[in-house]
Amino acid sequence: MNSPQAAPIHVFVKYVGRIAVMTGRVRESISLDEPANADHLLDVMEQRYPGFRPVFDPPGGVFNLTTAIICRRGGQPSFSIVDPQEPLKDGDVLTFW
Amino acid sequence: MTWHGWAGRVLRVDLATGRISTEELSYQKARDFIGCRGLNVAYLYDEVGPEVGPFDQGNKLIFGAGPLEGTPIGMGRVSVLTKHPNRFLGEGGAGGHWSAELKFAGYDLLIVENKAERPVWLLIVDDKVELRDASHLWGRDTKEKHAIIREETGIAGIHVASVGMAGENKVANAKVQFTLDHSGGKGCGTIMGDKKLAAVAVKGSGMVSVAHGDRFLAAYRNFHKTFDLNTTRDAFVPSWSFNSANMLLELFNENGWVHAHNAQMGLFEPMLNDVEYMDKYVVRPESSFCCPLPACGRRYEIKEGLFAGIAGDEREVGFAQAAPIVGIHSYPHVIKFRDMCNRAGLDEDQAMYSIAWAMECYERGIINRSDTDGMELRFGDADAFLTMVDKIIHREGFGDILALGVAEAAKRIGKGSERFALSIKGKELERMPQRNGYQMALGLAVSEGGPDHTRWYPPYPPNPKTIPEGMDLPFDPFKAFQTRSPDDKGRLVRWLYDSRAIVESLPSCVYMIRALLGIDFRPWLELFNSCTGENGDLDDFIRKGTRIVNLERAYIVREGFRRKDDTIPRRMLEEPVKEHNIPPIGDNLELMKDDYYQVRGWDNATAIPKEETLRGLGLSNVVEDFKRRGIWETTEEGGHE
Repeated sequence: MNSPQAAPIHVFVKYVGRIAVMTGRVRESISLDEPANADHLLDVMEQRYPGFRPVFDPPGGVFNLTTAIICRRGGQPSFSIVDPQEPLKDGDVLTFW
Repeated sequence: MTWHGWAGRVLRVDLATGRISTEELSYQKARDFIGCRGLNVAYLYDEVGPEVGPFDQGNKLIFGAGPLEGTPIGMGRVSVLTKHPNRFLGEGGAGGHWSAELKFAGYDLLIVENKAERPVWLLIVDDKVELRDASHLWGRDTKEKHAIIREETGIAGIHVASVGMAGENKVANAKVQFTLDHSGGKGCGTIMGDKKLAAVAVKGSGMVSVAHGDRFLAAYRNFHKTFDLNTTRDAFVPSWSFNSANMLLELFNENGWVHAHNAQMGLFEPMLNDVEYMDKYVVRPESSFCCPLPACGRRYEIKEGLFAGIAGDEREVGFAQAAPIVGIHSYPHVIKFRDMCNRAGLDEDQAMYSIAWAMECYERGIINRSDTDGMELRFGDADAFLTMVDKIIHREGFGDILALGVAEAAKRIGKGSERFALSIKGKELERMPQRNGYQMALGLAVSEGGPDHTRWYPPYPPNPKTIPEGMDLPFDPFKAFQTRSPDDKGRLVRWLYDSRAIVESLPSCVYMIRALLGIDFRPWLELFNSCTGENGDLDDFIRKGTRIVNLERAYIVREGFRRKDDTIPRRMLEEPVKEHNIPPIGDNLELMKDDYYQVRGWDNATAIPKEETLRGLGLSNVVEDFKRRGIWETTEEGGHE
């Protein structure tokens, strides 16, 4: 996990389709210690919603193949997160579907 | 001959004389063009030339099934084709059950000729085919038409294709409306209304002969694995099995794909969300014939509050995208909009983009209350939006202008309003982005039928990681995946067009193109061969798709369309998506067109297929036709109105 001294960042998360059924909500804000990446976020999600991580990162599977995580950052064109080590930044809007 | 897959018969109905006849399907055409969309254009090319105007007696309306229709692969898909009021191909597919019934009744194609003097409807029950008076149906909405016909015939499970008020009033892109709110063929409803054909009801009792039953069953089981929720490798499969297609709203929003306020913005918040729709309005799944994706169709109902009592079936993927386009935030209003379109056979895209254009013109001061029948027409006014939809359907006041289609309406209004009319080849845009998906921009620009994403579906290229090693594809999947680069998009779009032409001709639903079914066509080939008894190889199979697209291109070339017509709205070429910092496409579209025409074997200046290209595809009849008409001597300007 992240260093306890690091400053937190805040990401805004949206859940679409069946993922919203899993979480019981459509959006929320999540704090992460910096430096944070997609894998850290999945750790948090797994704690909140047990069974979440395997949906997006199946054991032995290919990350982001049967689901997708879209990231919108600082008014730039959105992109799909395909690498669990993708760094996350404060203010990122992440859509899980 | 003994037919497998194909029924082997064409049904012709002459509305002017009342003559009804059947003829054997041309095996040559069936082999070369498969069925459905492909066969339709093969017949239309031969029978409706450029000397025939869209509203002339000689224009025809063709409903096509295909060899796999009536099997679980067909999904009830029908292709409807005519010469569109703008002279390109008015073609569209629809699901449901109608086409399966046509096949069970023993027909591959229904060709409707000439015009009736008074409204009629057509009843097909196997070999019993008759034209009936439709004076009691004319002026009624499509749901009423269907209900009356069901009651009048007393036939359980009869399926109906009909026109609503939009078609009867010749609104530019009116659609044919099928049972369970499936619809297709933008402009076909307009021509059907012009022919005074109110409806076609069909019920069959036969079946499809399959050449190699065991092989076909094995191929079907293999096909169906793609949709197994435990093993699927496609994110859409679970989502479309459980959720509404309106889930796409958030995804479009996050990618900057929405056309908010007539595509002036790429972000619309708060966006309507799928969860609200599912919780409040969805009643049950309502699938097409044998469709494995139940959430692609949903029964909806407004149970209380505004517009309570409205119920119908959601078919148009993400119909709630009307919300950002005209700037409204209310599900009841977009559901009411959907219901109005279904009942009238009105094309949603025509309605939303023409009204959005009018709203932009109003806010810019190009038009005012004196143009809009005294109405304030501003983004976000949901009631004004619905009022104007009703005016389009009934061609009242300013609605009569918008009923011409946004391109023609802009010509009438002038004053620079043409710049804000989002249309391609005179037909309203679909809700597909372009500035951050160059393959979509090219796909929309070069369509022979105006904007139609089913011709190159899905809107995003295949994830390179999903492509098995050693698969030989005619494009570089890594370049194709770079969606804001023009590199290799010509080869990608050519591949998408050719392969999807096959799927739409077998037919199957293009939304079945999931996971590897979108790039590996061996499973489709095995389905086709085992069903029909044909034995062609994969190259021959893909060439059928190439042949279909080239014949479609030849058709619109003969009508006068040229390279300059293969374009997209100026907004996409010249304006950025500010909210996502996505630049306009600019000159990249022309670069991609150069690439596309080159890999197609079409002349770069005119987009006319070259003689050697047509001969190589066995289209020597087109070569002779082009020579006789001097097509290759024509200029880059073409000649259509």
